[in-house]
Amino acid sequence: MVTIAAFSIFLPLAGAFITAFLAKAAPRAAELLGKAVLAAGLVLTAKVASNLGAWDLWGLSQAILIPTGVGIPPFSIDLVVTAGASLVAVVIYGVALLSLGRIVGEGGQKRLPLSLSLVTASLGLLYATDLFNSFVFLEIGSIVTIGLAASRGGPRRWEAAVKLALISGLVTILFLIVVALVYRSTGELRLVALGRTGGLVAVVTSVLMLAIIMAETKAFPLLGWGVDYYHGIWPPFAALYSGTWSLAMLLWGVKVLPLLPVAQDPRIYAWLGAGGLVASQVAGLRQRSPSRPLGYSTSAFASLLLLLVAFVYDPDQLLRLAVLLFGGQALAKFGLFMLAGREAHGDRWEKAGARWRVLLVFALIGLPPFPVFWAKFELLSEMARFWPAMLGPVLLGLFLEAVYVLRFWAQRSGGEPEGDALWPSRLGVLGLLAGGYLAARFMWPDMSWSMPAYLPPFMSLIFGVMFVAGAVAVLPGALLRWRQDAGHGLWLGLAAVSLLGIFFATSGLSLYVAWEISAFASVMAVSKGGFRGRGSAFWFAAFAAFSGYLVLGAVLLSGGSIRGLGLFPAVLLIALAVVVKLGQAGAHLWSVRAYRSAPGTVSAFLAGVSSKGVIYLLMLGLVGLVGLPGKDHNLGLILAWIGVFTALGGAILASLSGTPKKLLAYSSVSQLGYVLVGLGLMTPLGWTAAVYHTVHHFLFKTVLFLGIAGVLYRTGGRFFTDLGGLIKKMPFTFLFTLIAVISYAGVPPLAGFGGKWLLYQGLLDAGRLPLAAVAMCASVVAFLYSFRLLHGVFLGQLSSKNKSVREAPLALILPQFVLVCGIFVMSFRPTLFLERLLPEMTQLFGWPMSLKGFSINGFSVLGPFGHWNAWAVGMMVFLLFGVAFVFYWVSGPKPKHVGQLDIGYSGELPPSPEEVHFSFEFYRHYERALVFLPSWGAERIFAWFVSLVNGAGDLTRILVSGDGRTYLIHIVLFVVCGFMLLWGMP
Amino acid sequence: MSLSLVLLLSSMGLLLTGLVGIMAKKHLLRIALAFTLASTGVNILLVWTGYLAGRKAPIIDASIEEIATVAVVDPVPQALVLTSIVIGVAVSALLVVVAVLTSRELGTADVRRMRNLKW
Repeated sequence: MVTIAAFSIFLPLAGAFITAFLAKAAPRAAELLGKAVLAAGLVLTAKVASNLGAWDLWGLSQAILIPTGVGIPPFSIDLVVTAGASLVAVVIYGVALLSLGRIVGEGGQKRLPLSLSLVTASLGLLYATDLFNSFVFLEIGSIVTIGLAASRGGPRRWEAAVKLALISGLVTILFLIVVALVYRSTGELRLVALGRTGGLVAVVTSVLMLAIIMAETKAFPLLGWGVDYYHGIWPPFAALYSGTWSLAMLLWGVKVLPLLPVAQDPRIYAWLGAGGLVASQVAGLRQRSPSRPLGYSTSAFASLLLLLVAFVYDPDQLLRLAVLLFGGQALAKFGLFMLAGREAHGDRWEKAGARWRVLLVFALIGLPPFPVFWAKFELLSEMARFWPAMLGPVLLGLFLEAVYVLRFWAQRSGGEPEGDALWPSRLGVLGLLAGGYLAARFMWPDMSWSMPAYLPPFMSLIFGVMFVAGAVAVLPGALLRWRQDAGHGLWLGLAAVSLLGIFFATSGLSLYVAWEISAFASVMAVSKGGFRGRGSAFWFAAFAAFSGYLVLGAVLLSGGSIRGLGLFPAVLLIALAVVVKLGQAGAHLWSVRAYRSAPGTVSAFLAGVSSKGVIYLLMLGLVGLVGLPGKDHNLGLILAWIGVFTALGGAILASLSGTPKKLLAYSSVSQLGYVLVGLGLMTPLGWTAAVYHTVHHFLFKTVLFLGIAGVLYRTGGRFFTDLGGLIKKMPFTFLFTLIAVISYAGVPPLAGFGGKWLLYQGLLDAGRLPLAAVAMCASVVAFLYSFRLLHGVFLGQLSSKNKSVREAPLALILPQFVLVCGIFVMSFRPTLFLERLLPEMTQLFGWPMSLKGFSINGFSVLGPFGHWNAWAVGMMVFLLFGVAFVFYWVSGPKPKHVGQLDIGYSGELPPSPEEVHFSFEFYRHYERALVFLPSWGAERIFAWFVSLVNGAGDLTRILVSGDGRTYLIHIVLFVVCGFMLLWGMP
Repeated sequence: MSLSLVLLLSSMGLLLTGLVGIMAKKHLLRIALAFTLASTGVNILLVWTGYLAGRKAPIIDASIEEIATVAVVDPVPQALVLTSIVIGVAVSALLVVVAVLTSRELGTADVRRMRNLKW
């Protein structure tokens, strides 16, 4: 085995010498030889890894020793192959093999020796256990990477090569100083000798080594050259570089950093890592060109290296996390760089396979099931255990990284690259999935799903039924476009399944996994929307990432159990995540864009079904506060106020919307506000009202979005001005929409009335009169948009474009019918729900006093402030409606039908056709009254906030000045400052 | 003044001169030269680590084989320096090549003017 391992290191070196001679004489043979060498190396390292038992990720610090110098340890110079390093070696070989075809390309065989030497240098660094071997391989690597950078690409490659050369030169000098000092003071050259130094030498060694590692791994503040390097070099080189040398360097850091004397105080690494993460990533947000963000992302992983060493001490765990974290990011970056078009130079990636790119982006920011996800989770868990306060900056930094990497996906869209260029990236994705599988198998004991037991059974059942029924209701509609675009149906299906994952999750990790998959599957489904789909999906993704990291924070603080979500700090994060995810308090910026752009069925799923998963999570958190005096009260009250103001604001914005989908989106935001009000009351009645309204919202919102999906499917018009008068063309859609609208307007006899009645009872019962007053106002405004929706789409004059429109397809109509039946059941037999829900809530809160005078008697609900017999009310309304209808039919004036063109202009010049449409600026008079609102608008506040963050990013970017000498000065300054700070520390 | 001190002082002098040159000079070739100075300084530092007063070069032949452990200086730093010099030559050569090619491509050898990649 030692022979195999030794062979796997030096094989590429031999290959480099031979190909150097062959390259001119027999270029094809040289290329074949290079590929054969790399393939053989891949097999050999995989063999070494399996001999060391590395594939199950247990015991990764197990090692074999390859003696390379004379003598016996500790005097000999040895290479040590740990099981973890052998896994990384597999990645290095794989990356080198997959990128070789593109790097060599047409007539580039002279680059073969460089690629092969880089593999040897990387492996050497990976296995080196003494300072001098490290130095030798470091130098080989530097020389090769400078040569590679200069050998192909645009004019910027010279700048990149010069900057790398400057940094490498300085690092060499610093490294040799360390070697001299360590040898002089300990008489040894092994890496472990670093820790045996004392006094002044220990301080100098620590600072110099820290500077070397941080500069080479591109950690903040020494990141400038690295970002420029990634930006300047030819993308396939960047792919090779990040998958081999950069990866080996990170692993070398994992080996060296814990040995430094400064490691005795892990707070230093923690501060450097966390601070650097935030500072570098805020600058990453400012990036617009595609290669540069990936450079900044590398810097994020360098900061994670420092954090890893600060928080993880078990050598097995350290290696496992390092392999997953850095191996995963290396493969993802490799895949992304390989996607760059053949002629791309930094700023332009003309052709890039978007489909593969998004998976690689997800792998890079660490979404399940990719390896980076599992490693980040485990690292952050350690952090939560030892120093929870550190989670704040670290999660913020990771979020910032996610934003700009996601934007990288959203902005640069394009066709597929040339056929052969896709394969390396595809295989990279496969490699990532395989790594994710290994990690998931390792983490499996921490994940569990079973019947939910944390919320009352009937309530859980209601949510479970909603998730299943919602998925069943929207999927037929998604299949309508199967032939044109199967993608959004598949993503929708995944989102629906993962919603059940949230429902059945019984451990924190499984909950978070399901949450993230659900969110990002929905993002992908939204991105398939025709109208600005990708851009809206980016907004969605950014907000989803934000709420995702909040949920992660909550899960980490809860100690990994669902029950722990009720601990106060955790529930605070959950509440914030839910506010964002439900589009409350200004976070509607994402939801309105997403609902507007998504394919119709996806909007229906998001608004109708997916949002219920969010509410379910909030209940999981809030339920832990039940019975705690004081705090629950305040948090709930804040939630209630947020909810009620969002209900009002959302209703106003819905009324002023110009497209039906936007109107429904705002109305969704508004309606979910009521749910927050109910839950925030933290009383049995409030929760009952909230659950009742949740079910009701599920029913009517799904009907409405499916109805509009049908209208848009048939007419293709997005604006109210394209629609109108469809009542006769789409009678069933109209009927179902009408029922849903009446229901949510909250007028008798349909279910919305019951929901509001319960809510007001709850508000009054809890003595929250101001809340009740604002909620009433919001309900009144809801009439405005209810009418607008019905009128704009179905009433008025039929546009001449829509003369030949047919009824919506059955796949959309049938689910609406079933859901409308549900509305009727809720409307006329609410007691079916309430008679089980109320006792459960009373029991949950252990607080029957508040239900004084509240009882259910047959069809009637008796409350402290009145009683409600849904059946009787319903019959009464139908009777009155019938009488009025007959009276109007018999005695009223006969209607006159007018066409869209029956308009007199009185000699005036007619304005554009949309402006004479009846629906154009329907509520302009209200808009004028509310003219002060836009200046308070969420868009404006958000833009201001973004400019603030960008300003912070610019502060950091001063460091990345582009001047190579400045980068050298940074290193020297870092050393001087570090020396001054550490000098005198014990 | 002992030889050890001379070695140490000269290495420090070369090192500092080199480092200042690296940061202060603008022309790529001058920077390359400064690197060479600094690496020479470091090499002397390495020699200093293994220097033992009054001993001979670690070339062990029949005449001193018996008393090698007390007669010669520590051979390890010497081996290090040898390797370091070889690598230094390679790096310097590469630096000069890069400097020449860069100035040919970009029309300047002034580092301050290579700032197209930034922020």
